[in-house]
Amino acid sequence: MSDANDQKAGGAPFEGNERDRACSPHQGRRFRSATVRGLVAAAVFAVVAVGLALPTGTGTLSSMGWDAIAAVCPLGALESLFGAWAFVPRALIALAAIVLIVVIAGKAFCSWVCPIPHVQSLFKTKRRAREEAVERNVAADAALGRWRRGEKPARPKVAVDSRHAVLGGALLSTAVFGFPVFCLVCPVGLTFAAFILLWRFVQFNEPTWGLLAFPAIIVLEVAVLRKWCGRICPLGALLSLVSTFNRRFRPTVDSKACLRDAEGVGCKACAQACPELIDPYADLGNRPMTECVKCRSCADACPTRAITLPFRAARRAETGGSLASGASGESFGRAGERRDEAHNGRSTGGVRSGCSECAETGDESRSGAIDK
Amino acid sequence: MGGFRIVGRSFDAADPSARDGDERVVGKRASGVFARISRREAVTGGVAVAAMLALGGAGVAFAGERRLLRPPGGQDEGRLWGACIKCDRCRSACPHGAIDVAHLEDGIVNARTPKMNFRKGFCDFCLPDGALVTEEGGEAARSDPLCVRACPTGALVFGFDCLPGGDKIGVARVDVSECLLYRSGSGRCSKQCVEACAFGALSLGEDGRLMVDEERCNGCGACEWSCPSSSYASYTGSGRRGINVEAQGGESS
Repeated sequence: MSDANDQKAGGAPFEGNERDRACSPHQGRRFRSATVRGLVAAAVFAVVAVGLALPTGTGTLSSMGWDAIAAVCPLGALESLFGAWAFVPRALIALAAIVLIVVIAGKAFCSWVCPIPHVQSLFKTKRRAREEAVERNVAADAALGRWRRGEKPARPKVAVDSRHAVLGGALLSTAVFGFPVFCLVCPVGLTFAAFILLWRFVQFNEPTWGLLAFPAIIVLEVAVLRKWCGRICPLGALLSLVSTFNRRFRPTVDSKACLRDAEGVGCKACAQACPELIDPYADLGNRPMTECVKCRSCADACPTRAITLPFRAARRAETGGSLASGASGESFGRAGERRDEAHNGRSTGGVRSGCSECAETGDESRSGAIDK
Repeated sequence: MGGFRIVGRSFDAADPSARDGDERVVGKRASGVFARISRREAVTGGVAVAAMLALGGAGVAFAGERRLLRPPGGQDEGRLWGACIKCDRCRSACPHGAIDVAHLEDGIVNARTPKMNFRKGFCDFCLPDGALVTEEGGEAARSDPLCVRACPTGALVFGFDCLPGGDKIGVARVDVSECLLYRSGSGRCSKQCVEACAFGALSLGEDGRLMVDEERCNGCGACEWSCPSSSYASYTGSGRRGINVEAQGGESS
């Protein structure tokens, strides 16, 4: 949290363009996380390439490791259990390890390791990008509206949707037909398969229909079925189920810096940036916080850099009146809790009564800001 | 997708999310342990399950008749089918490059699974030099090849016994139309295959023709690898060598 930013945000009056400017996504850092994510995904391909060039046995994302120690795709491991009734200790240990990783890191795999978002961006037209931006804006507006009306996040403990039906269907079909069915069409596996086939085509002049079929399936899945990740992907469904227990690395808002808390501005830059349609501020978005892929888009977009994804966050008061999540940095701890209590009055009718720090911003300008 | 219970007021008509036909918070949805499934989600879920079952059926229907030569430990085809997640680790682990990728032409489910290609290398079961024994009762040659060690799901099972009478990748068969000892009489071939076989499975009969002891042969592929027929020296265009390892219970891949 730099002083310069605090002053900039604090000094912005709440009328007209100045307010909009204060709430516009932060431009300076905006794409840094995206760049790092791209590099991580590229590194995975580099490891696969090493495994193609040398007899390292490193493998692909379906299973990657060294000798007998390897990570395994949790869906693949489950499918192999159902497909062959093979209770292989290694696969079970790998499954347990992945559960542990997901409990700690949530669905970080989806944005940091999975190649599919990058493949999707290859096919993203300008029109499609605009549609997605509109969708995010609509979701952010809805989240802001819910926050204004004082609603609280009340999610089912286990959220299931169409992805879980794909997951269940894949496991059922695997058990019936005796082979990992989803692996046939998994875009992650096919991306690496296409890469391997291309490599072998160059190395051994080994033409096969797979060189055409695999990319065609991938294009069908990411370009035609555009909502693959959110609607269909059973791997994401599996991660979401486990991610229910994830509390680490959640987007956490520093109330001292957040424009909504500190200035009373109806800022929704974080929610607008979220590709998963989550509301990082109060978890009032169209999708729940369990779907967070830890992509840091919200942290990058925040005009005051109020959002961090800390390993240990202040406990979120889920049933209390406070919608602001715990503070980070220097305000972590007592000060943050006191703030939260002071903000309790806000959830009724959108007026922050009893909050001395909000009083100086004035209710008039504040409600004007939020009506935006 | 995730359900919302409305604590405050219900959504008003001006709520922008109300225009969005789906993925939207539904006012009356309960927040129990499980989300209540909407009709739309039930329909898409049913379609998803049906699609997965259809995909599985299609995989079995277009499985292909041909038996493939699998890496050591992958001879139980049902086990390999059920457990292989097509991760490419065994192929990459093979120090001799003897493992190939099966393609769609080998069947939908077989695509991306491992198969042996003894033109690129042969299997020494990753035993250290000199560990191979030709005499029964010698040093135990049970082995854990690197491909088996690499397999994360147990599609390739441990404990392949390469000794005579043990497990077999396949069995070598002489192709009499390609083997130089059959084609142009004995003495015209340097018989690398007989030298290459570490298990004493190959011999020359009284008429100078090549014989395979199917009991001793474990399908390691050293003979096929070393055979000069259909290679640079004597190319006939058939793509077959004088001796080829064939999967048991099926044709050669």
